[in-house]
Amino acid sequence: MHEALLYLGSGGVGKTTVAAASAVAAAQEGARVVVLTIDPARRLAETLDLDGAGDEARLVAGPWPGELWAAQRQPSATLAEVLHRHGRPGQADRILSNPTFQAVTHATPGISEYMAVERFHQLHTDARFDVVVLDTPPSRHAIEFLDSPQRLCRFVDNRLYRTVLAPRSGVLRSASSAGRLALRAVARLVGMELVDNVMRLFADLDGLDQGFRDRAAEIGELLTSPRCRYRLVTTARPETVAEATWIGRSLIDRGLTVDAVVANRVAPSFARPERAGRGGGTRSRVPTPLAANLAELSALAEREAELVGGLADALGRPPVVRVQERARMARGRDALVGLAAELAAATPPRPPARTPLPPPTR
Amino acid sequence: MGKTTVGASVGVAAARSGLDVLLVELEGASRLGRAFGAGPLGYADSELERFHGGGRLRARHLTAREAMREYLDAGGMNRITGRLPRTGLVDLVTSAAPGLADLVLLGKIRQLEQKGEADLIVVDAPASGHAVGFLMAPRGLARTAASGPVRHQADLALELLADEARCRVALVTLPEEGPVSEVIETGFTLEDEVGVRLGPLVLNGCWAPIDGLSDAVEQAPARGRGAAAGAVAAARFRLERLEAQTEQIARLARELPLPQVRLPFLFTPGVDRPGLDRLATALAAGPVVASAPVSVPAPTVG
Repeated sequence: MHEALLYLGSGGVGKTTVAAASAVAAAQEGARVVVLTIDPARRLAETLDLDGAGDEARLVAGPWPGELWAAQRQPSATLAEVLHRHGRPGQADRILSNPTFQAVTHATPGISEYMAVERFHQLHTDARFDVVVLDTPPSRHAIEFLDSPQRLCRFVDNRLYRTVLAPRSGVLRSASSAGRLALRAVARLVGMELVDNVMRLFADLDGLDQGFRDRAAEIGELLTSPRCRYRLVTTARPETVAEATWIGRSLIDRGLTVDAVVANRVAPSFARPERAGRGGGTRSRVPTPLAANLAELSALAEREAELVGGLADALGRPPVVRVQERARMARGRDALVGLAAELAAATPPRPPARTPLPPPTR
Repeated sequence: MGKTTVGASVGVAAARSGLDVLLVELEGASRLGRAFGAGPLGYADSELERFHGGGRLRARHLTAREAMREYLDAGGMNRITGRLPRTGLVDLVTSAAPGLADLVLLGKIRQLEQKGEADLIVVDAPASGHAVGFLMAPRGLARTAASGPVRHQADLALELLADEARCRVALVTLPEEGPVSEVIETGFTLEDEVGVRLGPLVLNGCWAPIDGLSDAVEQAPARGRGAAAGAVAAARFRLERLEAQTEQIARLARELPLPQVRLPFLFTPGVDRPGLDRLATALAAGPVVASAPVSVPAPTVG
């Protein structure tokens, strides 16, 4: 079994870059690593100079002993693949051509998240890689992808649909007429066309549920196995820290552990006059604009340290990596390599590779 | 990007000027309430504060599920469905008809606007990736439904979005490279695909310059030690940061020419009442013309 690093965090905290840098760090240790991103802004492609990277994992050249691969997810491609895998002949094409279904894949919460974990699972069982790094999908709630297999199962196996249109027992048959009534009422409100498409879609989805359930169980097992390490990325602002606290607590509530917290873009701290010397000789030697600036930056660093400390306390004190803010945004491979070094120095070591290197010979 | 904070500050600024303001949260609803010493917001509105001069600030948290239930009930659903699992039905309709949840939320906001619930309704929309989808929902549904109630609702929502006298979108971003690129893309998508009118662009977290800082760095001894060296390094950091910020603000003005409102970076961040007041004051000062030389208001205290 492979090792997996999953990076979670709210939008705009630099999660994609941190995930990519962590993949670089693993490649530097000699691992064959693949980083999977679902970022619609294609930021990873930019950072890795990998523009136009498709669905398939591509090898990224670089000065590391291991192999670095990058893959970008196209949820609709994965979805088509999944349907063809689980469906009867012709079924997948019928579903894919349903106009409601096309809209569903774009807008229903949980579906694109599910496609992320599905693809993650595929890479995880791919013999080409030792380590899989997942940049978790941006979503209204960053934790959603964990529950997405169950959600998809519920969607495919919609009991209500069965009650309404496909009664299988006497008890359900009696409920069915009420169901039809309700359906007609819904149709009056949202339009018959929509209800028609939805019902046709559910009829087409019939029989897929067992395959999906098995798969969901498999994926659920992977996501809760100790081989999956969850890392939180946050910036040191009250709103992102609050979000990170919530994500971390949600992981812990599910019996998972936060492996590390990456506090990204924290304010640098600078040497300050000794507190004891305040108002004394030390202070008077520093000209006023300099002092004013230093005081502001120090207040910021202190407040941020407080916030990050509070986050760590709330999550059982996992290791915290502090990545300092640059005055300018770092970009390109060199910046990624620099960030990789910072991450590698401060995150827990990875378990030994499956095939240990031969002992050095003299 | 701090859009929740900016939205709340807009609300405070408007309420201070005597307006009756309703803040509408669509996502996490606990933080906003806390800033005003209240608990998490509910679906029904709750008063956060009254202001001198008659202004008032209320807030509520709208969820698609509750709005949908309300919509179905208004259509006489509760009489018909009887013993059918109603939550299941609501979930089925919202999950299987994508965009419908967003449309129902927009419909609810429109209803509040039509009933004259408040002088100003400030909606904290979903974050940028989802905001476009959220505001595109009516157009998407109008395309698939040729007639019927969905089409009617979609048309009403589109009418609201396109009417600049009733509705404006204020984009919030940071004066940094990534966020600026993102907001330019979002801005064009919203104008082209949704047809909504963009209001002033809010640049949140602008670092204020400090007078005489660069002179002070130049005059500082080349090999200072300890605290003095720290102060010089800190000044260099700020100067470099300000330079990068100026570049990004200028790029934004070039590529997305909208009036800009620049809000100061708060060195002691927190969505607390004094912080909102400071931002509200900066907002009330009004936008600057995008082509004007870059200047950042100094944070006002109190």
